[in-house]
Amino acid sequence: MSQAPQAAQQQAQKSNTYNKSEKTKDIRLTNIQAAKAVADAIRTSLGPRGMDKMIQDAKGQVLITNDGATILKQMDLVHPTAKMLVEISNAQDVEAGDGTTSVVVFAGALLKSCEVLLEKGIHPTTISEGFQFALEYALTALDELKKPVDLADKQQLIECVQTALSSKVVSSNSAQLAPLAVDAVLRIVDPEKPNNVDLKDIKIVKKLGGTIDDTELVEGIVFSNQKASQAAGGPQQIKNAKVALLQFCLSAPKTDVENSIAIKDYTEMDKILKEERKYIIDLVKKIVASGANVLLIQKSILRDAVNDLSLHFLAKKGIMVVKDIEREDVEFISKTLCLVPVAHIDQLTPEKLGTAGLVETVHLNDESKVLRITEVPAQSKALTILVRGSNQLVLDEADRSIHDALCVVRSLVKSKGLIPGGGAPEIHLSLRLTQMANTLTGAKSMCVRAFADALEVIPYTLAENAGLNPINVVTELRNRHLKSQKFAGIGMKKNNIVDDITTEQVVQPILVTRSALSLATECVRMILKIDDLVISAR
Amino acid sequence: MDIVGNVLPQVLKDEATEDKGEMARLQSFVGAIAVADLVKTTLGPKGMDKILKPTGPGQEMTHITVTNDGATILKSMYVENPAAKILIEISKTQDEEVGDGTTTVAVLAGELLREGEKLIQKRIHPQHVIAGWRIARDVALKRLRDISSENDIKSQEFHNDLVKIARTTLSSKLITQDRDYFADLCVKAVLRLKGSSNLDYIQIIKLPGGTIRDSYLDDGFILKKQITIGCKRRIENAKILVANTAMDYDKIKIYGTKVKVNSMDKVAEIEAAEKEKMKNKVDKILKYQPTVFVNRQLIYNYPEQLLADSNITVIEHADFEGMERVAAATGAEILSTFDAPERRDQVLGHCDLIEEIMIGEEKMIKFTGCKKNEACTIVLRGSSIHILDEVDRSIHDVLCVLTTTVKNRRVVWGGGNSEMQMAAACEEEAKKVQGKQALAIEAYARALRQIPTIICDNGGYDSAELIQNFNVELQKGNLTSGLNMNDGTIGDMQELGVKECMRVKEQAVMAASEAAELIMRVDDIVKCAPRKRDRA
Repeated sequence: MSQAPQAAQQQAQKSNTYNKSEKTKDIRLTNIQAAKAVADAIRTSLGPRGMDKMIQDAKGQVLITNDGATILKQMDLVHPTAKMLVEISNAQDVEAGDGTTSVVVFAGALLKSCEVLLEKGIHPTTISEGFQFALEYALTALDELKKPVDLADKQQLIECVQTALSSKVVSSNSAQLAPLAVDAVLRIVDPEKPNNVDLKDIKIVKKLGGTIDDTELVEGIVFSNQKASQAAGGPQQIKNAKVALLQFCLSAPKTDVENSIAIKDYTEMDKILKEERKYIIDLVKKIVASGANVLLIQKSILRDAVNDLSLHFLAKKGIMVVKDIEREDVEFISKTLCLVPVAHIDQLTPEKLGTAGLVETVHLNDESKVLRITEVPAQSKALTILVRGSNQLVLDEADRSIHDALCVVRSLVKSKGLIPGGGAPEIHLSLRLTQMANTLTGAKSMCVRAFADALEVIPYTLAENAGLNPINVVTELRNRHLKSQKFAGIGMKKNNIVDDITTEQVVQPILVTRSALSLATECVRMILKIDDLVISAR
Repeated sequence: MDIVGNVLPQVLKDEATEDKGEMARLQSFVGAIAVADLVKTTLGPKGMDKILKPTGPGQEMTHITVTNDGATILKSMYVENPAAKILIEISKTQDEEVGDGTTTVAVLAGELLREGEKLIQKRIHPQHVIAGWRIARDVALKRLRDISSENDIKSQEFHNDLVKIARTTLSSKLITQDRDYFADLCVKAVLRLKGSSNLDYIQIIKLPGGTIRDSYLDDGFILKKQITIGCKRRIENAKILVANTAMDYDKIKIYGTKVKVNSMDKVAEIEAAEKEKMKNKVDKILKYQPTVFVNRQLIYNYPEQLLADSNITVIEHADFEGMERVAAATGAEILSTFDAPERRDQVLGHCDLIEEIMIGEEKMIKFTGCKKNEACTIVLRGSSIHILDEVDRSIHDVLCVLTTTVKNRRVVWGGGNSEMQMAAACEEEAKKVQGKQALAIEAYARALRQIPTIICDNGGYDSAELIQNFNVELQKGNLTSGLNMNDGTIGDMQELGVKECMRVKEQAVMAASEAAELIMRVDDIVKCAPRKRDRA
């Protein structure tokens, strides 16, 4: 404790003795440097030829990923401005799901150009205004490249997803994963709200084993951890299932108030056992009466969800029992199977049951087993993706990549426009901004030009990561765009510059670029406005 | 022993210290001025932000704050100097009273003390300085009131005034580029309140993602919760029962309660009885015939089901704040017992439509057409939580200023105009006053003039020249002139539409003078010995 007040006093003295302008300049420069360092750390993972990072966390767990947001999240950064970059990467993840690396790389480049502008003596707020102005112009210029997208045209959507997946470990499987992601999202689009989808309606279930090729889309539910009870030869497959989701337990009664049963002799013990039996038989009878033949039982921490006795009776009646259903999954299950969870045996009525054509325990191509509920009602609006992978690292990365792919499709649902990829939009915007800067005068012109230069970092890095000569590539691209080939970009298939990148099916949703530009600019403007770091008590 | 060798009696405890006379005064000046200097770079449209970084063990990873708000910076600063603490206090008070001008008040007090220090060096007694300041303050406040104007609350001019004030307040914040958008948004929100100053009705929801421009004002009330599974997701003409009650078994709260039985049937009976109790409670609730039931606490599966079966939409686990807002917005009473269904009309809230909406990735519940139509929600979007927090603070400032303006209705020109006019008034007064006080009055004028000077300096403009030109313009009779911070010139505030709330300025001047006076009077600082804590 004693150090803190001292530090504060020193701080107070400092502000008296230090040359103020020098101090604020220092703070600004360190902020910029810290942010640049973060951007530099992840820029090599940008693009289809980008590399992955291996991260070992504090517990010694290893993680291999290409996803910018994940890398940054795991990096455990301390510097305040570095943390801000992590946040914009997260925001991009939430908003567009893809472009999480680009947003940070671009922010880093913008800050680098700020340094030059600050040295020229331009006031930070002027730079900030200039950037905002440039951003607004860039966003309108971006629309020039926009092609409308038709959600019915699946091929187009699939191409788009393939571009997003091209930089991931799973890129070789993109031909299979892309259609899967497109189908999944299109299936859950609510016709009443055609402009947004809730990705929580797609459940990603990971199961170790097999290869990524075995990943599949299941219109229904897959449980990887919960199994159908095998006690007393319980059924493992049920056709035309009537599914009940129970939120009560099938075991001996237990009261909330602490209780104990006092018995005096052996006969009484017999009586109690009999009573327990009767109690459970009553429950089972009521279940049978309702017509349910598959029971999903919510996990309970207070008492056993089922006991041997109830399992035995249920198995005899040919009812499948799945226990340990997590509370979080309840909503998803009720949505998929169109059922209503039941909290008390007396409320178990036929109309609360859900239907499924087939509930079965499936042996995957290796030893592992999953429980699968398929042929769900047509009005169901939720589905599952079962992800397979040969090891945990691949599995996790596949999960993240599929999430990205789903997000890309969602971005297209949200704002229905496509733009070319491969660095084409950045070069286009950069040129348009430079042209515009020439019509301006004063500091604003400088700022717009700096913004335009910063944009070139994306194609530059793309080329660099692909092992091309970045200077040649960027200048060549500029040249082509000047000749109004506005779709020219870097094609990764042959590692060359392509006249029309869209012919190589490299396209991305407009929302990704739009949000990356706005988020990066917003963050840079905030960092620019900071001139001091105050040590606070809380 | 002192230097001469006299033995002094020990009056104070060990470790307690005392500073006297000049030393004490010097210490307070240094502390207060240091604090003022720290925040003064945040002043004005070209002011800068600060990062607040928490210290202490285990604090490294906690959230940092980026802000331009004087009160927030000062509040979280770790200072020991007593005078500095007084400055922090007045900034807080300013925040509570009027919500804005928190930096101004600290800076003004700091500048006053800086001038005061010079006067003391000239061997003028602090009491004379204070007397002079008091005269100056009264003159300044009188001038402030004279130059302020008032419009009728219903008129279009007043509405325009509000928008202009909001713009001025926002111009120093992070969202300055979008100030027109937010000014409009805030004015609309405040006008919904119809004169009431209860900001509780304006809810601010922060959601990362999107950009600042995606923020919007939603009429109605948004609750960041979910509707329970199996309930209707859209309720028209809802009757809302708001409750804070435990929906599990009403447990007997005696430690170690226990029942002893001698058969399994009995256990089952007790369990059934417990369930019955829940059911009774639900039945009681049903007597109120609500269509929506909002509870602060968790609702267990069983009662949830019972309610859902009776076609009541259930919202569980609404936190205290959320529940209170729902109650306020829909005109409901918060119940925890349900024995008086005949009072149903009084206790039930009402709103036209409840539906589930999606903002970003989150689902929320929206109440529209509430009984008390004042309620509205501002949904803020932004790239990071830092930005959102800062926008939240800015919006809060604006809302405070606007409600203050609605109450007080008097406005003055911005851009340093009011400070310069007040300073001029003080200088005129100084010429009429006899005695040493005149020097203090002049000093007061200089301190006031420091505010526009600092605003210029923060913009990187030549303050000495600008302030002189500004003064000349005022002398010429251009009473609406002020600083044009876009070009670094003197402009016409009427043309630029820069207005400020008179009450904010008034409060700032009063609070700053009071604080400066308080610190000025100090001639002895006694620091008590720190209380020893037994470390067991």
